[in-house]
Amino acid sequence: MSGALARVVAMALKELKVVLLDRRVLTTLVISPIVQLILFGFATTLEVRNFDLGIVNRDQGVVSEQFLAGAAATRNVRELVYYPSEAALAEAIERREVLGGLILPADLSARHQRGETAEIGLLLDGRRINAAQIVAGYLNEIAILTGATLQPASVRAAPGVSERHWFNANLDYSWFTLPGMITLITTVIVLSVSVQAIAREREFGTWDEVRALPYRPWEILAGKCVPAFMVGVVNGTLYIVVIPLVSSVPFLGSYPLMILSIACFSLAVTGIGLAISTLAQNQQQAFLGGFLVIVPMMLLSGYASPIDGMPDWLKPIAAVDPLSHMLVICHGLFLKELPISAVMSEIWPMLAVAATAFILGTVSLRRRTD
Amino acid sequence: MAEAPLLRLEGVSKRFKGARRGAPPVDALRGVSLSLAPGRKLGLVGPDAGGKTTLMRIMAGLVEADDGAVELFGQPVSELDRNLVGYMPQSGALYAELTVRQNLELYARLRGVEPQEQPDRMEQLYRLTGLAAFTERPAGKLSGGMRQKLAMACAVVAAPRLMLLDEPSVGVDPVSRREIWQLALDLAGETSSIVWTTNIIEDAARCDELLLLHEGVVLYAGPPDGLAGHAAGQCFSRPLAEEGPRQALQALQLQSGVIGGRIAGPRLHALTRTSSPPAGAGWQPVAPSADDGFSVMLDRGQDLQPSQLAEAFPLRLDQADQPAIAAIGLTKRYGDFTAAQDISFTAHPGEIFGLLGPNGAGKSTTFRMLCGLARPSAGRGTVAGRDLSGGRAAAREAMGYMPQRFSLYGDLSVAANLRFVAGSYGLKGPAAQAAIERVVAALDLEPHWQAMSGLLPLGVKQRLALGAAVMHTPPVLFLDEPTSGVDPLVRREFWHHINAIAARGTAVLVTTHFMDEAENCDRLLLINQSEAIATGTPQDLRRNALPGLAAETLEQAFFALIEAQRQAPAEVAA
Repeated sequence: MSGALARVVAMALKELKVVLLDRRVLTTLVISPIVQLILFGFATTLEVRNFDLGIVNRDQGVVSEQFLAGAAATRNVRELVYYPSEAALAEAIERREVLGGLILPADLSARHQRGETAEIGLLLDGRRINAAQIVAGYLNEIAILTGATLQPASVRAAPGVSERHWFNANLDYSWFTLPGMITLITTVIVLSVSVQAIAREREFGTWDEVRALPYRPWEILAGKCVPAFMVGVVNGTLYIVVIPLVSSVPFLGSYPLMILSIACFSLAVTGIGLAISTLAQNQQQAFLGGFLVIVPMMLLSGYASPIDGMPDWLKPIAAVDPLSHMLVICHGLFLKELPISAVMSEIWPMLAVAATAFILGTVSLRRRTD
Repeated sequence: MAEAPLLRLEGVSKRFKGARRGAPPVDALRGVSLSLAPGRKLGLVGPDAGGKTTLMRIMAGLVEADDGAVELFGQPVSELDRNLVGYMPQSGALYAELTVRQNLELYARLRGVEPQEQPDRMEQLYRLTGLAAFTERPAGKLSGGMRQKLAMACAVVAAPRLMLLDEPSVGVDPVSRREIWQLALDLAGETSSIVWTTNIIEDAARCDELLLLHEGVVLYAGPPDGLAGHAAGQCFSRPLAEEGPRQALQALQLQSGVIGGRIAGPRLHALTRTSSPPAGAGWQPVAPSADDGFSVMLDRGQDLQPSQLAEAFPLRLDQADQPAIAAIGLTKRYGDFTAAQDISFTAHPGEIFGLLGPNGAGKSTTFRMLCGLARPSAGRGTVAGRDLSGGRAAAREAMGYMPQRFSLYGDLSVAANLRFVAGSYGLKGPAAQAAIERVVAALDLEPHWQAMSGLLPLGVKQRLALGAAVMHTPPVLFLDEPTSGVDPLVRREFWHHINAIAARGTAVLVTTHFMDEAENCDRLLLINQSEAIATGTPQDLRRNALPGLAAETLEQAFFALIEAQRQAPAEVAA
C-alpha cells in the first residue's frame, strides 16, 4: 500500500509539473478566469437597460403626460423617441432604432376621465423576444403605477401586491450571476485541464512508458486528478475572495463550508473529465469530448433556466448534474447563510458523481489496454 | 571533373529556434559543402538527428538555408524547377486509403505526367516495383517494403534528374532493403543522380560517394572505402570459442586501448586505438569496415569502465533454471489480420534473448504482448513467473522497459523524469535518492541534470531511457531497439551495460535491426510475416539456415530463412 502511495504521489507531482510548465496552459489558467469574470459578471444579465422607446402620442391629456414621465424616469429607458405616425414607428422598429413603441390614442385622457378603461398600444420587436418581453414587463408596471396615481384617493386603498425580494432586496442581477459564475468557470477550467490528462500522454507517446510502469488504473487516475482538482479549488477560492471585493454581492455563509463544496465539486468535474480522457485517442478528441458534456451540463444546471421549469423527465438528469448542486450551494452561501445540513445534502450527490466517474474511468482504462 | 556538378552546396548552415522560449537554438547544419556530378549516387549517412533530413529538405527547396549557397543544375535553389527533382520524404507521402494505382496516378498528374498518354512509363514503374499485381490494393494495406517502393515510384514518376530519397529503406527487412536499393538504381538509370539517406552505414557503402553527417558537421566526404580507411591497421580478428562469445566480447571491450569490438560469425572483431592488437593470442589483422572508420573518428580516447549500472543489480543466477520470460502460444489478431501467430519461447535469468525481424512482421506486437502493453488474442505470457493476464501490475514491477521511441516527458527535466520513474516503482525518500544518484553517475547524466529532456541529443535521451528502465534493478529487462539511430560509440556503451546487467542474472529481451547486435544475443527468435520462422543461438542459425552448408554471417542466414519462407506455400499454422 505504501508503494501505491509513492506511485500516486509521483504521478501527481509529474502531472503538476507538466501542466504548470506548459506556458500556454498556464496562460489559459490565469487569463481565462479574469476574462470570464468580466463576461459572466457584466454581460450575462437578465435586465434590459439603455433601450430607446418609440412614442406616437396623439393624446394631449394628463394620462399620457403622467405615463410618459413615468417611463422616462426609469433607469432602464435611455430615451423616448417621438414619431409622427404608426408607420414611422413601424419603420423605426424595422430598422432596429427602437426596441418597441407605444401608441397613445387621442381619446386616452378622455376615456380615463369618463371612468372607462384607457388603452395604450404597445408594439414590440419580436425578433428580440427576450428583451422585448422584459420591456413589456417594465411598461406594464409603469401603466399600473400611472393608473394608481391617477385614481381618486378613495379607490387608492384597494388591495394590491406589494413585492419584497428576499436575499436580493434590489433584485440586482449580478447577485444571481456572479455567485453562479463560480460554478460555470470552475467547470470550464477544471474540465479543460482534466480532459487532457491521458489524451496528452497518448498523443505524445508517453503512454506506453506509463503503462509499462507498475501502476494500477486507479493509481493513474488518482495521481492525474491532482492538477485539475487544485486548479478548481484555487480558482473557486479566488472568486470567493474577489467577488465581494469588486462587486456589491455579499458573502454571508461559512468560508470553510464553501471551500469544502468547491473541493467536492472540482472532484466531480475532474472525474468526469478524466473519464472522457480515458476514451480519447488524442487531445483533439478529448477537447471535443469535453465540449460534448460541458454544454448539456450548463444547460441543465439551472443557471440559464430554472430546473423547476424543465419537463419532468429532464429533472432527474439535472439532479445528476454536479453543476445544479453547486449552484444551489453558491447562491445559498453567498446570499444567505445556508445551514451545514442543507449544504451537505447538495455535497453528497456531487461526491456520488465523482465516485461513479472514477469507477467508470478505471474500468475504461482497464479495458483499453491495446 | 569537366562536367558541371548537378548539385553543389557551399557552406550551408541551418539553425532552428529552441523548442520554447529560453531554450538554446539548435544548429542542425554547420557549414556543409558537397557536390554531386550527374549520374552519381551519394549516400548521406549518420546517426539520427545528425542533420540529414534538414539537408535533404534544403536540397529539395522546402527549407531555406540560413547561410551558404545551394545550387541545383547550375541554378540557385530558389529558382529550382521542382519537376526536375523527385523528393521522397521520410516514410513516404502516400494516401493510405487510396489504392496503389490511385496513388501513382495522382502523383503522376501532380508532376505533369498524364497516365493515359504515357502508358509505357506507368507500365515500367509497375514492373520495376513489382506492384503490378496489387494495383487495386489500398496503400495502407501494403507491407512495409512494398509501401516504400510505391512511395519511391510516386516520387520519381516523372523521371527526374535528381532523386532525393530520405530513409527509403527504414524499417524494412534485409531482403526488401536490397530490393529497394536495386529499385532506386533501376529507376535512376545511368543518367539520374541519387541522394540517399540512411543511418545504416553498411547501406550507404553501396553508393559511389558517402557523406557522413554527425551533429550537423560533415565528418567525412568521399568514397566509401575512404571512411573505412580511417581505421586502417587498427582492426583485428580472432576465432571465437563455442562457449560464451558474449563474455569474450565483454572482456575485450574492457581492455585498455580497445575502441570497440563485435562478434562476426565465428570470429571476434576488435578495433584498437593503436595499430597493436589487443591482449591475447590469435589476433590477425583484418580489413576495416565503414563502421570501424566512423568509430575511430568519434573516439575520444576513453576506455570503458566496468558498468556501475550493473553493480546495483542483485545476483539472481541461483534461479537460472526458472524461465524469466515465457511466451506460450502468443497470438494477436486485429480483425481478420493476424499480427502474431502462435509465438512461443522462454528466456532464462542471465540470458539475452533477441527478437529479430522486419518492422510489421510481428516482432513489436510480440514484444508488446510480453510487456503487458497489448492483450494477446490467444496464449499467454509470464514475466519473472508472474502471469501478465492476471496481476499485471505485479508483473510490471518485475520488469524494466525501454521503448523504441523516447517516451519520457520531453517537457520535464532529466531530474523530474527520474524522480517520476523512481516514485512510479514505489521508491521513496533515501531509497529513491540513492537509485537516482546511481543511475546518474553510471550513465553520466550529471551535466544534463536540469536540462529539458526533449532537447537532449539522441544518445543522451537513450541513456536517460535506459537509466529509467533499470532504476529498480528488475529481474527482467525489455529493450525495444535500444540503439536505433545512435552512433556506434553509444551503441557500444549500451551493449556494455546490457551485457553486464545480464551477467548479474537479469533476463534481457531485446529487439534489434543490427546484425552485430543480434550476434551479441545468447539466443534469437526470427519473426517474419507474423510467424516465428527460426530460433536458436546465433551459431545454430548460421549452421542450419541453408540446407547443407553453413552461412558465413548471420545476415546471410536471415536472407536464406526469409527467402525460404517466401517460397514455401502458405501453410496454416495449427
